[in-house]
Amino acid sequence: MSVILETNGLSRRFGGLRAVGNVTFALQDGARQALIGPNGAGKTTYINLLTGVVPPSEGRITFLGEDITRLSPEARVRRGIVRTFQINQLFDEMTPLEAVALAVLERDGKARAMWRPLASHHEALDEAAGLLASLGLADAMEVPTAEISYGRRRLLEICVALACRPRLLLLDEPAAGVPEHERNDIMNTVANLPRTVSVLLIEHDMDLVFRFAERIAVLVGGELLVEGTPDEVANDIRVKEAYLGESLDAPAA
Amino acid sequence: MEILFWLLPIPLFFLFGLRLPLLTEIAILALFALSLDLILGYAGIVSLGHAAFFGLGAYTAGLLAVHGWGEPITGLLAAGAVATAAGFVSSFLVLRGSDLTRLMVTLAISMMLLEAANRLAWLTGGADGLYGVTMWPIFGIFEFDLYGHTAYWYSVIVLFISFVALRAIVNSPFGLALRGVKGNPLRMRAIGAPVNRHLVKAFTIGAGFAGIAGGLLAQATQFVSLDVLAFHRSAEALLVLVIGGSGAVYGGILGAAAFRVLQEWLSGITPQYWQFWLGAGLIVLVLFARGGLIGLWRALVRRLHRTRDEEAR
Amino acid sequence: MCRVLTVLLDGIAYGMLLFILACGLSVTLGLMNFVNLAHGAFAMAGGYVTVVLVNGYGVPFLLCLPIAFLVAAAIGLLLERTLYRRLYGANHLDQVLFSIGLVFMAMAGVDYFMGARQQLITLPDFLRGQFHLAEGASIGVYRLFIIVICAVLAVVLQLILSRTRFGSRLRAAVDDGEVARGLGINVGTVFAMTFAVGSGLAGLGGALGIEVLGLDPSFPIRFMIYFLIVVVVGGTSSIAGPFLASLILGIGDVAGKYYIPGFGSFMIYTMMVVILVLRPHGLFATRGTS
Repeated sequence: MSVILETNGLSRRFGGLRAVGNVTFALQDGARQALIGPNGAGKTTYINLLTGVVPPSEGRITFLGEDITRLSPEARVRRGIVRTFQINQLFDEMTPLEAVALAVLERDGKARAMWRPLASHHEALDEAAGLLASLGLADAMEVPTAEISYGRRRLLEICVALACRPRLLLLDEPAAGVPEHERNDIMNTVANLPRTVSVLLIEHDMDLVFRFAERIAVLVGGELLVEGTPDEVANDIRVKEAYLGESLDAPAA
Repeated sequence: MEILFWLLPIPLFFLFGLRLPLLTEIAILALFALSLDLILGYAGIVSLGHAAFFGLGAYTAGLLAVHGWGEPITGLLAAGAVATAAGFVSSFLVLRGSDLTRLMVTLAISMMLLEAANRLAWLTGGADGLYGVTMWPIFGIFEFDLYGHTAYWYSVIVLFISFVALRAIVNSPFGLALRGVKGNPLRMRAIGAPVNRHLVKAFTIGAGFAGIAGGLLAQATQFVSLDVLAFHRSAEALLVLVIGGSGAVYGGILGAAAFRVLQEWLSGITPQYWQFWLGAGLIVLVLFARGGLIGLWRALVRRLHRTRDEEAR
Repeated sequence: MCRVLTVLLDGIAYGMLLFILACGLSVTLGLMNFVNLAHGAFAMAGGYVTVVLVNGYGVPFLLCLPIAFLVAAAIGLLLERTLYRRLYGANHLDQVLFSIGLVFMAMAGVDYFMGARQQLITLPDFLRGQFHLAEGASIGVYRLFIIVICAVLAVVLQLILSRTRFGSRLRAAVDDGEVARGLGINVGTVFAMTFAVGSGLAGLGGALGIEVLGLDPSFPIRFMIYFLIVVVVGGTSSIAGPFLASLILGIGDVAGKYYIPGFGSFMIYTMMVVILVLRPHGLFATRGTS
């Protein structure tokens, strides 16, 4: 397996505060990796560094062999680094079909087309419809986004990201706030993603982490504490200390 | 329905033959409001100075005619071109910063142009206005007549063509992208959309159509005054969109008609002070009827559909 | 050299006046994130109150100043409680439209009662004449008066914000309304008080400004752009920001009109553009907040 993403000595300071410090980390192509850590461990900042929303204070980011440290957020999306948000960032005034088609059109550089009506862009609309159907959202395609259930909006959140054809998908707590009976849909969706998409999952719910991840990275105080298989991480004494009081045992499968 | 709407100018022509200048003004105001709607209703950029581009267009068309080029169609295109160029250049300044910054910069641009037009009296006629705008016949055939017949049809046709173009734009993938930028710029960036480039384009196109509207006014009234750049003109366009409903192509047209008719009526009752009622109307609309006429229409249609669905069950 | 001093002092007086006029706007904007384009209407109210009292009833000018403050503050309080508060959660466009509506009503109303002409007042004798500083350099006594009053007000405002209980509540509410509520601060009352004081200061500025800025029904629109520039350039997080922005704007405007008469008010627009290109989020924005 080859490395798809690599960060070398990546740091970010805000004023005197070090949010991410010297993180050196490599993600394998096709990985099912989780990134965990207590609140304030720097997970969000790390994601923002990867997507380019925040420039690093030091360090380097390499993606598919290319140094992307200085690339704009848009350019990174075009290279295949796509994220979802912990709090839904959807287009409330569009239908899911429009939202996903918009992502498809932007990906193909066709969103600047001005003279042909949207309705005649069949390839984009068909692709969007297909994606929505594959996530079980076929019946919600034309319903105003604001009227769909929360759990299905979480699925739409992922669907919009998939429409960008990611090579690396950054999932920020995809199941956050989702009621129990809809959780499975989301985890199945994530589990069924093709291996051509590498996944970095940020999650608090250890149940989900251990069910999904093949490797786990633990961020504490902005630094990478441990990186290894779920078993290694679960049995690591430092991780247990960091998560004082919280259970980190792998659930009996 | 839509065909009927666009056939309306014909009966209006015969019904209100003596009020044609008013109808012409409505068409021009509607075009101006439509151009603002692209910027405001679709792209979500709040502008207090859209009159800058209207005025640029008006002076371009007016000055061309005064200095010996009275051909209307090319004059109008020139008005649009100048406003487009100005819109493109100023968009980079406008799009920096927050809503508040945008308010300030758009207002400042229009004030700056107003001041410039006032100072360059040798060119623009300053506060006296620009006289001597003489138009050649359209296509060399249709003379601009005293009754305003030609001006009326000319304005209605320009409005129609611009309307078709603007509607094509908002119904295109680009229009969808603009709604995306307005709805959730954070997510637009996260799907790799060139947000700023979209906004620059929308602002530039909106400015261009405002220029055409301004040029149309100069040609139809054969006069340009500093008024074309004044703040109240920008405010009027905003008001028209509030009345008609923004983010909806017919909103601008309905709003313009309602606004001008109301204005005529109110200034008939209290000349000079009709601005008071204008302000009061604005406040009431904002507090109680944010969808405008189009919003009311849609609510009505939705209700009709619902009752029909219920009957079908 | 002496002329430079005169221009500088005139500019400072003008800038100080702008600060008193606009500081209320910057606080309401920072506090409630409310774009109140009608701020100038409160200033106009203060101005007209003074005109009516001085010219119609012979009330001494100095007594009119606190009255102008109180009347504008009362109008502000009334409107805040009845109308403004309904739009705190609304988007900026609605706030803009609403406040433009207020401006139009105020302008037409004033026009109806007072006419469209420029209003003049007769200043008391002791505020007239010139004060000689050095050989050839002089400043109008009235402008000196403005500088002193506004400087005192600026210091008082700064002290209120930094030293009093109300000030700390205000700052807490600006930083985070939710947290402030959690601390038991009645944010609604803080809003209303601040809005009233801001409107009152505008009214006071309007009264002080009759001699310097002129007063007619178009006042709110003529000065809207100045207020916006002060707020955008100075930011809303402190008193010092708008204060410095006002001074820069005042001195720049006076100097521009004096030294390059043909260029006129382009000076301030040019300054605004330059500042905006260099610092898109205002002169005093802290890095990283946008």
